[in-house]
Amino acid sequence: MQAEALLKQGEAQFRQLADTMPQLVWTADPNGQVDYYNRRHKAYDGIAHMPDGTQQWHPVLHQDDETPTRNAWMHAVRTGEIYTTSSTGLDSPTAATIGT
Amino acid sequence: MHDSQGRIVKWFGTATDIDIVKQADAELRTINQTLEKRVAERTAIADMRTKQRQKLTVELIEAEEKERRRIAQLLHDDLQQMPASAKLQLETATDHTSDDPALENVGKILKASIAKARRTAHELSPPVPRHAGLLDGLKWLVSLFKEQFDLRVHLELKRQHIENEPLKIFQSETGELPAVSVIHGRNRRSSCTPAVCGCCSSMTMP
Repeated sequence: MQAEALLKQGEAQFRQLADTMPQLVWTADPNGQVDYYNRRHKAYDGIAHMPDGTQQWHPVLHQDDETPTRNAWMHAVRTGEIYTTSSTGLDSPTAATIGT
Repeated sequence: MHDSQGRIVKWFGTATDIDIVKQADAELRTINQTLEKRVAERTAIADMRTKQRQKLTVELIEAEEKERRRIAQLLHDDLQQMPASAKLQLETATDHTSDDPALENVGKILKASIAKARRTAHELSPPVPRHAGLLDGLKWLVSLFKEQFDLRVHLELKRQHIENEPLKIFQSETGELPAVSVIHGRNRRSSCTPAVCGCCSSMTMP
């Protein structure tokens, strides 16, 4: 029980830290399903919490960037490689995404 | 994040908004383009003004030249004819037999006045550079200096394509040269560079 409490405390600390960052911060499970965004995601219309607990993020991207970005991300998920991409957001932000 | 076996347990990523950078970039590009356009516009205006000024100068010179020719013609066709006629009548009246020194003197004065009128008419409307190129014009001027003022002029050419220089402007400039040479005197070395073709030639007068 103490371990679980420590884990929860650690997660809370991480979220607090992530929410103070000006960047959009996210985490994903080993399959590439995004399961967390920091508060910054509110600046991007189109990021949505899905009922199954995953996050929808593709509508944020510009139409031309969607496929290349998705491919780069899927490639990273398959190979475990770090990836960097740059894309044009629909509303305003132009984002450089770094996955680890 | 990897577990102890090296398997991925979590992906962690960030997305940075670089919109401001992109906007500044675009703005900078626009400013640069505007600047280039403005420079081109200003250059075009300056070129146009230079051409206008040159055209005006040529027009002015042409007007002056026309006036010079008119006066020269007046001298030659009208004024010069009077002493010529008087000289003729004097010769007829005395029939070359009079020894009267006063009449002889009148004849000399009339002859001198005819010569002076002819020379003045010639100087007002010099025949050479009107149709020749600039180089020929300068050479003609050198010979003129030698002949009229006994001045040796060293002609130094610094550029090869002077033939294309506006001849009218050259004429205007050289028209002033005899006056300049008189002011500078015979014994002093002076250099006179016509304003318009200053970059291509210089004239040195020892």
